[in-house]
Amino acid sequence: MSLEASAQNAEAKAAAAGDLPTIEFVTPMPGFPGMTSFVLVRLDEVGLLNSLRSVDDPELRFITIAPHQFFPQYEPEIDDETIAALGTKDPSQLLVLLIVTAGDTPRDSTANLMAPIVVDPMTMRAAQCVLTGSNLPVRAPLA
Amino acid sequence: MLVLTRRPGESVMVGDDVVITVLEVRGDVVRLGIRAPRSVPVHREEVFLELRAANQEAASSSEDAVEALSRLIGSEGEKG
Repeated sequence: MSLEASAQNAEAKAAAAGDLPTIEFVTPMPGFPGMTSFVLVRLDEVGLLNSLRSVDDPELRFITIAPHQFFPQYEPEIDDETIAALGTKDPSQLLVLLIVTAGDTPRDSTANLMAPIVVDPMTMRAAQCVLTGSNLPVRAPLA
Repeated sequence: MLVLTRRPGESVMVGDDVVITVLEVRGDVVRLGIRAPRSVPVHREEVFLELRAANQEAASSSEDAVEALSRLIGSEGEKG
């Protein structure tokens, strides 16, 4: 089964079970005004690769990775404003996802280290947190 | 474009709830303080434009590319 088919299948199953994991962005991502509801679906067993699909526009989909496999040193400092906006009680529980731009080959793929998506698994709220002044790259090669 | 003259300590209101205050003017550098509700993101323009471009590019990743990425992550996972 193709990845796309399996992702949509997973979404369909979750929807049928009534537990579609919908997350709400507290502010829209730059470039996508009005898009705040997304469905987060695992694309592998361990949750390294995820799909983030817009509820408002099913054609809009982001691919995200968990940082640790490719960027083990990555420890973003999430600002207090974002933590307050997410309603987070325990910042150590925040899920950090990196948006991936898939290139022609996997070695051309990049991840956005400057603006990770942070998700509070308790409130199911999310934000694309801009790490201002960090000098982290927007397009960091995965390789 | 609305053009205003302000001194340090003076502010500009945008709508009901965005306040932009001139904090300091030194040479050709102006420091601004911006108070806005959480629903109004505030970014430096160049950062916003870069993020918007990166997000839009990421949103159009092809299925083939994503498949290949999935295989790479699978194999890297086995190695790790």
